[in-house]
Amino acid sequence: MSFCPPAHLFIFTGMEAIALATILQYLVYGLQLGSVYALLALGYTMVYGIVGMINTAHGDFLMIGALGTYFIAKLFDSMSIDGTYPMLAVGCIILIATVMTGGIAVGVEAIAYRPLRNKPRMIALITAVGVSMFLTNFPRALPFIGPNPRPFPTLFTPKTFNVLGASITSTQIIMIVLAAVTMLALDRLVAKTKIGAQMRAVSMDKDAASLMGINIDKVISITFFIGGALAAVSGICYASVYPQVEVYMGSWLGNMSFVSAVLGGIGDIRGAMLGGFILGIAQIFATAINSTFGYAVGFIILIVILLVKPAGIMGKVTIEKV
Amino acid sequence: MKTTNAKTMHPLLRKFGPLLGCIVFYVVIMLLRKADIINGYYMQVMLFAGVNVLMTASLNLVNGFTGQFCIGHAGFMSLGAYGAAVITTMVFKSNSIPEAAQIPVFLLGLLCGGIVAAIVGALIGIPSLKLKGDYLAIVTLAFGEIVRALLRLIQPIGGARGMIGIPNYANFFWIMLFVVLTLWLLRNLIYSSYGRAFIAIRDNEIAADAMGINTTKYKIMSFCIAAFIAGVAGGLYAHVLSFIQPDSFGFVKSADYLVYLYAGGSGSLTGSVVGAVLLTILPEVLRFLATWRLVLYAIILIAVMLYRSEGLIGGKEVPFLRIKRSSLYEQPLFGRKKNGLSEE
Amino acid sequence: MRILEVKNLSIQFGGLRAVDDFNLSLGKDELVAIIGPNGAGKTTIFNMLTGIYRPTSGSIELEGESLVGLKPYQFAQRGISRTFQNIRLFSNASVIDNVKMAATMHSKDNLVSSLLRTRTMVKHERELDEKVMSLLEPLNLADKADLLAKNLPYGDQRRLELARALMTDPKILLLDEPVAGMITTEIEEMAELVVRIRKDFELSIILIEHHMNFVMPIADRVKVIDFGKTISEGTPDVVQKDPKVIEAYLGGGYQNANA
Repeated sequence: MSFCPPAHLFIFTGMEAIALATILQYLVYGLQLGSVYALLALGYTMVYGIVGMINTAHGDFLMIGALGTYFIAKLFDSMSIDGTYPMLAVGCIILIATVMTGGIAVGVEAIAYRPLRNKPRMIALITAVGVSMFLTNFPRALPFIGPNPRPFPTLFTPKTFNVLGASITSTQIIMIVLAAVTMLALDRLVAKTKIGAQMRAVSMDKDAASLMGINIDKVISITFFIGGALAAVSGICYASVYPQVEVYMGSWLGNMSFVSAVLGGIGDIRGAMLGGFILGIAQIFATAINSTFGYAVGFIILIVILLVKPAGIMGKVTIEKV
Repeated sequence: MKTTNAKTMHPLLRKFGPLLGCIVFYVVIMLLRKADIINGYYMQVMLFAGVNVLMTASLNLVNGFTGQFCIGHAGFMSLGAYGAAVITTMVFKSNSIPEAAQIPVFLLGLLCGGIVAAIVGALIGIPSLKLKGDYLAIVTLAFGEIVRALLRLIQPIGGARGMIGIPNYANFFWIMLFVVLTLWLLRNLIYSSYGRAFIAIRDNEIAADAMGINTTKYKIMSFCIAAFIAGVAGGLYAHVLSFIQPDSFGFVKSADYLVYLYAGGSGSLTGSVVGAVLLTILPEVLRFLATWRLVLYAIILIAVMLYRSEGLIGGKEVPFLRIKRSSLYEQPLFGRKKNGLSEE
Repeated sequence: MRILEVKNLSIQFGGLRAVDDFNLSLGKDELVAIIGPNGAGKTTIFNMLTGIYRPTSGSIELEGESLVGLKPYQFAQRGISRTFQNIRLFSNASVIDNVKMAATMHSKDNLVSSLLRTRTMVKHERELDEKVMSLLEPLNLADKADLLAKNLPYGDQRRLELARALMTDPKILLLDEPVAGMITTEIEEMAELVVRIRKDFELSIILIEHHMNFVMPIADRVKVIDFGKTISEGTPDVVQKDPKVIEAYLGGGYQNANA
């Protein structure tokens, strides 16, 4: 299938048309990477906003989601034709993987983080290091998983479209749309629902919220569940485009999504989405220029925002009372 | 005025005991090595343990005593490692200098590595003035990664592939010497007006400011000193392993030192020593578990944080690493001596 | 000359003018009390006088030298010291260390001599130790010198903050609610203590307090602040009877009131 651009766009010369096509192509990749980062950053930022901790193990939830999808898809193998699955099966696979990851996130919080809620921040950070180590090495040690990369199942039949010279696959479109819809849903949830109001209350003042009758444990568990579920979706998005999944895939993406969250304003949901897309696009363009630049651009953005506006793009500055 | 303590050590024992103990320890280890009861592999573990003690103790200065949040400490280590390696392999090619010059070149390399790290440490101290808590942590993390990225880019020192052929100058003697020396210097620092300033900043920065402590100066100083020590540790590391690459100094390595610090207990030099030594040895001891090794290590780590979050040592110090107030009022043991060791 | 000249001091946080046109001319050995309802801006004034907040307008001159724009530690080094409304001790340090920390700016030891713990450095440490003990003695803290600050009873903690502030060798001492939460006997003791240290250390003192029976007997002058503005000032007798003051504390409609 091909999309034919209207005639007035041909006022560009050949060169500009090619450049436009290249830029658009990078933009597509950037948006897609950006949605991965944004979804993952949402979990980071929600946990930070509501619990006050930087969960450095968050990236591993992405890995669990992606790897889990691989194994769950195997259960549906009988339904697959030529390596692709019918829509109903795809829906089930994604649902099961998402719920499973959310559940694991809730479990992690209950076991490792809840007891440390009133201890110094660094202790929780060290525990998160331990959790991350456990989440990557436990599957690695299990004989049926192991360290070897697995090929991610093709969940969506890829069809390629051509827009102004750039090619975009149906998979990428679905990814970006799925990410956008999820983020909108989350935004609605936090802004309009009762549970959302409770989450906002806990993020402002945990103790006051509990005095108002809010069940802190429940709110925090729900937060972690949502974070884990989003991480799983993020992992599915990522693996659909880069189909190798293995136990270490979460750490780099986790770090980058953390940068996105800080960039947008850690603790702010819209900031996380914004930061994710900005970083995704920046990284694709930077890598196009030079691969080490692409590797470093995340940290450069981080340093710049921390020096210029540490609270992040959407963040608010708070003053300590003396 | 004096605090009475029935278990006060005899001053001679307290002052010279540790030094004697170190010498005895060194001799014993060397004999065991000669007899091959301690083989090359165990020796290397001990050397790494020593390097890790230096790294953890210096991190303790910044995180534990000054209350800052440095989580990119391995970045300083890499600067020191590369700095020292450049001196010993590129500026003075190790096989073309006479043997007598090898040790001074080695020490020069360590010094240069430390200085480079210290300069960068001062630079990192500057954002610490504007950023508190989590934001400072993030900056230090980013710093570590940026150093790694930059080192990967510099081709003359090996780029991403790393640098090989670094001479094996760092043996047990040097590691022990630096560990003992550093612990002694840090102990002195902590029980001085500088150490008190660091602790004041940690415990209540606003009050410290109000009491006339230039918190900016002391925060940068603590980063600087810690970075210098980490740089020297990095130089030693390079000359133990004979090979360094940028990727071994990433956040994973910084996280290692954070773990050693908090598992041992921050705010205590003893905790740093115990944490570093124990957790360097633990993965080796667990090697028989193969792929389950790190799983168990992770579980142990989580358990320590959950059930003893103040760390294994919990902030206390062994007698040799602390200075009691009462020692200020003791008569000097000998008549007139020039400096240093006779006063404790 | 007056030791401290504060003119037209104001600060604005966003749309809120927290302190409006505060003036104070403090003489040597004078004790001025600032009183007013909670939230009136009294601690904010202190925070400006110690450099924690920068005033939006106005001037602060200590013995002729302008202090606005300097950092808090520079205020302290030039001779303004304070205690805090919510006690800010170095909780994990011992009593004696808390006070020693305030002596950092007077330290004669450099980094090298501290690292090597030279003879001179030890001598200085001993001298410091003796000096601090002599400061703790009259404050009844000498026998608790090695206890951790966080384990002290409340009254001792307040006196420790006082000792610490005195260690900086100040010209002016700012006391923020020094008797908050104390019972009558403790208040009387603290009043005696404040008068005594004022004499012994030749200090000018500015204090914030709510307890009138603490303030009135010892203050030379009183200034009353409400909603950031100075609504009354003068000697304790005059201020006590000022109807504006009574209204600020008790609300309008109170015809007869005596202290």
